[in-house]
Amino acid sequence: MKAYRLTIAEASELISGGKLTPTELLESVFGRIERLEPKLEAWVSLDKEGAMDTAEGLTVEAEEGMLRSPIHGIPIGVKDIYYTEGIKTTMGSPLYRDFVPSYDAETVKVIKEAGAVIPGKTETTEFAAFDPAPTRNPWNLEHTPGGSSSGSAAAVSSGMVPAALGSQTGGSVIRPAAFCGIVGMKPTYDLINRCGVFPLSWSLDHVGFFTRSVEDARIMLDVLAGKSMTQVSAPEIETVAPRLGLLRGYFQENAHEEVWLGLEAAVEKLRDAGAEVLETPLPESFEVVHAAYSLIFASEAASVHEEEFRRRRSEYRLKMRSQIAAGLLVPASAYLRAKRIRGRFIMEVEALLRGVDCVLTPSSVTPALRGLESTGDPAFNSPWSFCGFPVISLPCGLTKDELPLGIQFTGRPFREGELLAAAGWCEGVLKFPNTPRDP
Amino acid sequence: MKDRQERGEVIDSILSMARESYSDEEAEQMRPILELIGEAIWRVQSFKLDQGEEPSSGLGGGME
Repeated sequence: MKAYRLTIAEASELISGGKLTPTELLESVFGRIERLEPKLEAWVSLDKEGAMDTAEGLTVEAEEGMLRSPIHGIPIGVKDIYYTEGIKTTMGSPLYRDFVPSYDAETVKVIKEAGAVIPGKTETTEFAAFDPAPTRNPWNLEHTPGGSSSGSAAAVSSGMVPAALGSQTGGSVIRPAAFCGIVGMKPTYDLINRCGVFPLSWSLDHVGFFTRSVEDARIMLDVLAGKSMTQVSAPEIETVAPRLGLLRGYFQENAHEEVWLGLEAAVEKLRDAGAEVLETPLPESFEVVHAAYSLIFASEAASVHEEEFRRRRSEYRLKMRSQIAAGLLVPASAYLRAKRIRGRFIMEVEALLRGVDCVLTPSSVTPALRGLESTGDPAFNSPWSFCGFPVISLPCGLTKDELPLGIQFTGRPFREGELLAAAGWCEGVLKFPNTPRDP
Repeated sequence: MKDRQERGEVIDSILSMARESYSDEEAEQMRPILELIGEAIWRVQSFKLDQGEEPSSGLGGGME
């Protein structure tokens, strides 16, 4: 097996056993990046020299038996809205084309201290919003990889890196994970420190990440949030079939036909394997959740950019410019009412989850769209960003055009261990083995 | 009819604010998103809440 294909768990085992060095792994990763990047455009910038220096230091540490964590020597991509000291961070915008932060985002600091190697910064839509990045989907270059974490998703899916940091305000981790056939996780709101991640909407922004397996997602979460967050999910728990709540209603009515068929096929496999799948009604406040979300998003995004927008409006791309301009017009009373609705929705989703381990929906409204003009519709993801509950997406099948489909699991806040246990069990049943053909 | 007028009034109000704050041309360019925002305002204002329901500032929880 080529080293770049290894998961974090596999590479970590080889590194700790002295059978692979961080330097060797990084060389394999850069070889992969150099081969695929001209077609995929997943990276804004690469820091080969800096990364190799880091890997060499970590190799010495590994040889001396000083392994910092399970991500010691693991290359991890970083979305270009995370501040990285000394490395250009553009936010996907010409306004920041030359910006070099003087400090690392807290999450970047954490993964560096844990021994990760950062090969470079991955492409993002402008300010993590709607104007697309140039990145293409590894499954079909004519299709979007989704966004806003476009580069991170494409890089993990294509085997460039085993994991990458992303972020989600609406659906920017879960939807690209689904479009690219990989695991994506958005932990509970503010479980992971957002300091040093350029904001889009303070109440809705989440740190998230992409991996190729649930096991790797657990490893990432252990590092980012501390092992105590996942200690509830000792591996043994993954042998217990979960109770899953299936949400229909809005999701079934609005899903692309192949998306819903893919979900139903996955649910049937899970049921046959012993999972209990209960029909779960949507809460009353769901009818207004997208409206409330959009007002919080619009107001806060406008506030983030207010000063810069007044001075440099023409330098924003069209969708972001319109979004900010519209957001500045939202009355305070409407914004506050949206936040009151948020409180109601949180209570109702907590009640919904009482009888089940997690709830299921498709991870996206459609499969990956053709063309790069749109990164897709976050409507199936924004409710979970709105309430802040943890979510994980697993690939569950392919469309007839061989585009991946994803299934989204939403769990209780701060109970990521239980969510990962349920997802791990389901992953074992769904067994999505596919990787995209090299472009 | 009253509901449609109220919804229409909210959307018209947002469009009017956009014309005042920006130019007519810019407001027209932004019409799709302004209509979405107007619709969202109307929906949020129409949803019944109890007096005691405060704005949520997050989950505010932690490990159990």
